[in-house]
Amino acid sequence: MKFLAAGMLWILGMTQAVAETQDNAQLEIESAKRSVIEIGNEISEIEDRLVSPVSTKASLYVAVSGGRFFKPLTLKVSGAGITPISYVYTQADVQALAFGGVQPLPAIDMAPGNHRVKIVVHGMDERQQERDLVYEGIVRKGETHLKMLLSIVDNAAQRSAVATLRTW
Amino acid sequence: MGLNCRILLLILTVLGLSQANAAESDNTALLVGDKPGDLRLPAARGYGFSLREQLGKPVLLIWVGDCNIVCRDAVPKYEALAKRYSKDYPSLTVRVVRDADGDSYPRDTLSGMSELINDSHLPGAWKVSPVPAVMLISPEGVLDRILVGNLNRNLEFTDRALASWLSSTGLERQR
Repeated sequence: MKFLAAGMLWILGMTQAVAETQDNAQLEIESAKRSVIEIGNEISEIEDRLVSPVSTKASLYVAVSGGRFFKPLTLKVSGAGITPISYVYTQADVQALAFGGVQPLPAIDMAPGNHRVKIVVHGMDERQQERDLVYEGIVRKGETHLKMLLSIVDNAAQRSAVATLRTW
Repeated sequence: MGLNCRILLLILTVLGLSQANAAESDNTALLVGDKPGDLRLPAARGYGFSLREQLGKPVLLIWVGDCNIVCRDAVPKYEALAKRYSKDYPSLTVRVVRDADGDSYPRDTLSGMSELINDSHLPGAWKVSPVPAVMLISPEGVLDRILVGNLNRNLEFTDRALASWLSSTGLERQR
């Protein structure tokens, strides 16, 4: 009987020890997972800073006001010292813009200084005729993140639209 | 956690990231069973096309390259085929994909089907080789079938493939 009781106690002790070991292993796994996430975040931040530091970072947004006289189909951004950007508009994109959406385009790398930028928006007018809206001008990139908003605004008097660029 | 362990994790993460980037940038070898990234192309007329926006619909893409005489003869036959299947499966989305000639886009049309221009300068273009090729993309966005070669010769295969594929997508026939 004594041996049986001792055996039971030993088994209970072993079970507890195994449970503690499992808990410890679980904690270590959780800790490893947290480390992987932290390292991933650190790498992502470093990558962002290296690939696109604020001093060369520029963003272009597109907005449409009205949308009756011009519907964009494609957009091309080019200029000396600028990574070219192209975008193809689907019907869903155009509807979102017409509802007041502001479209962010992929980030642009731009060295500090003055840059001649050309933006060509190919699209359709109200008679479904294809036409281009062109913005061409000089933008100044400082040491901070440059933000540009291309607005395509209806001109009811001329039954057409104009493209303007605002920077800040 | 030991320094060695952290360094090992860092190396593994970096390797994983670079492999993921390589996989994203390499779309030259599309294989059956792949779930390719978005195909976003301008249309010969009207709004552009995004494959991602077609999720939930079966998609038939007919890649014709610069479309020679044989191809021009075949495309209207595919249009008839597409019309026949669209009656049973109205959600079937069909596009003919033509190559841009350098910077200029083709001005003519091959048939009444909507045409897209595969302009390799665009980030949403695919490198499909060889062409002509017919692709069947499931409502889940998986590339289910590719038929490569002469469009006239592949018409019957495409017909049979469409019949079995559309019935396997789980979409209900409309008649």
